[in-house]
Amino acid sequence: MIELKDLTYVRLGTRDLAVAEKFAVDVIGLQVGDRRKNALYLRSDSRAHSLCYFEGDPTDQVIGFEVADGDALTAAADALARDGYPVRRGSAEEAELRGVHEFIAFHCPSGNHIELVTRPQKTARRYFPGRDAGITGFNHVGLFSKDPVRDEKFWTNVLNARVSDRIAEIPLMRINRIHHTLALVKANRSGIQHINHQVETIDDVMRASYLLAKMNVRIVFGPGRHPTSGARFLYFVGPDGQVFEYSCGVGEIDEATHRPRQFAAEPTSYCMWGAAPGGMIPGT
Amino acid sequence: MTRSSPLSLAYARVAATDLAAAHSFAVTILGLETVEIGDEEIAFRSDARARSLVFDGSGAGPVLGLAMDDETDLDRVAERLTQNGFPCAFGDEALVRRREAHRILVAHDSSGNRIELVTHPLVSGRRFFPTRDCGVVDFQGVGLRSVDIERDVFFWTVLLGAHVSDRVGDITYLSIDDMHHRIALYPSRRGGLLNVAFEVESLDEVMRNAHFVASHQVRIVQGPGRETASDQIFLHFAGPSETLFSFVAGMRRFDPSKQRPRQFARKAEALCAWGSECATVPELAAIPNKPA
Repeated sequence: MIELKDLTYVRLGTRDLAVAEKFAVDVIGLQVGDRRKNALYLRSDSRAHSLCYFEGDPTDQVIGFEVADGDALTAAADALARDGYPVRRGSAEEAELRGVHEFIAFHCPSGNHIELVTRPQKTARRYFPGRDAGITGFNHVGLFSKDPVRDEKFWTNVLNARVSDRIAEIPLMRINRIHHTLALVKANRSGIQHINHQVETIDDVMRASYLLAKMNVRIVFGPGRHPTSGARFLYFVGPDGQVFEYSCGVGEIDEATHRPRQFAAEPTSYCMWGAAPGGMIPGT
Repeated sequence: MTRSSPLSLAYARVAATDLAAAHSFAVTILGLETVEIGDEEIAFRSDARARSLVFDGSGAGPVLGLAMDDETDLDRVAERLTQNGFPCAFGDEALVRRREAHRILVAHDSSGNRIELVTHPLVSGRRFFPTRDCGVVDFQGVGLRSVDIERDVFFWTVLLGAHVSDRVGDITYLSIDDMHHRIALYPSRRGGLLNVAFEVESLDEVMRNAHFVASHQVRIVQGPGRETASDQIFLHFAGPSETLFSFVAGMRRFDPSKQRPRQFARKAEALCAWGSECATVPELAAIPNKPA
């Protein structure tokens, strides 16, 4: 059984590393952890890096999850192969570039590039933000899915994620106590729909809403509050059209008692305050 | 820690030239409960008070009503006001009846704001039932325009027993119970009732109301924001006349025996910790940085 322990990183291709760095540091508030040839490693918490921009095609995006150890990784590779998903084992050099011990790579049914890793590096030097954004850490991602019903089965049956709640046929899935680590969003494309960083309080979300507007950053949804997770949020657009989110107060799930709730396909299912998700979630 | 204080908010009377429009605003936008529709005024509830907001179409100016528990306090206050050059007079029976109070002392601050001090204003035994799900729980406070901030602070603190909790420039927050403030004085070129604030259950209701208000073509003057000194989340928006209305939540407490008033510079971040700014109402605006 494959058990995802944690969300480790996202890797994003970009045509312009300098633009990506300026946005990541000055707007999002990330910290440059390392620079390698043609790549920029950004920190948001105790992870040595949680976001890596590399020179390349912006549609080239990767999400990394941690598994327990080498045996778990081998078992995962076998299980995926058995289920018909071609699995590639990363080279030592590639693992070094990701700051992990070992990893395997495969594609989910919607074509998203997923990596499972072991022993991702932490760092003892504390994260010091690029601006006072109040970030407490890299928290979750949204993934585009061409068929959320099919992909939910993949994530739950093969990778053993659990559905916390659904909005229409969009599942919000968890791999630990956090309400969701992965949300699927229906679209005729693959890729990362949004990248979430948690911030300390509602004040950080609201301050960001005014500050980012002043910086002419395009805010696409919020400030608002999700009735599902309870999180207060702000979604905005970064380099290469990538959407980022700040949120605070995401709920935790009690495995023993929680049953997934079904929310209707209506705007209040996305924001209980009345903010419109228009555009950011296709079809809303 | 609470402390005994002789003052509490009783009512706000707001001038309205178009009573029908004001009525519609009170129920549709504010979500208050209509208590009484008269020829010249309409009264509304927002909490346990029998009435907390009155739109007055008689042409009279705005009024802030405050309750005092003790009859003898009222006599003492009348004496103090008179000695210090603030004319005041006890209201006649007709006025007492109209205000549904036991006794009433009518005073004016140095800015000409009419302040009515009443004893035993009515509360209702029936719980407040809002017209819409506005989340309103209380008549929280008011902002007053002041043409002479020093003399008005003297009026409120020395003569009426309020405490200054904080200052932003000369904007002065006044505490009359255990909350950071119920009354805020804003330096202005004229007197008047700047805003009437209704407390809602939580931040969620401020935000929901922000979307509601905007979707009903009501002009938002400032917010959603968080008042830096008091921590209070606010949304200020235009009403049927020049008095603004506010939905607020989350104000912190103030204890004058343990805290001293702080002085903030009148900069945007001292007025709103989130970064909202007010461009249209000078009383709420920061003082722009002078060019170097």
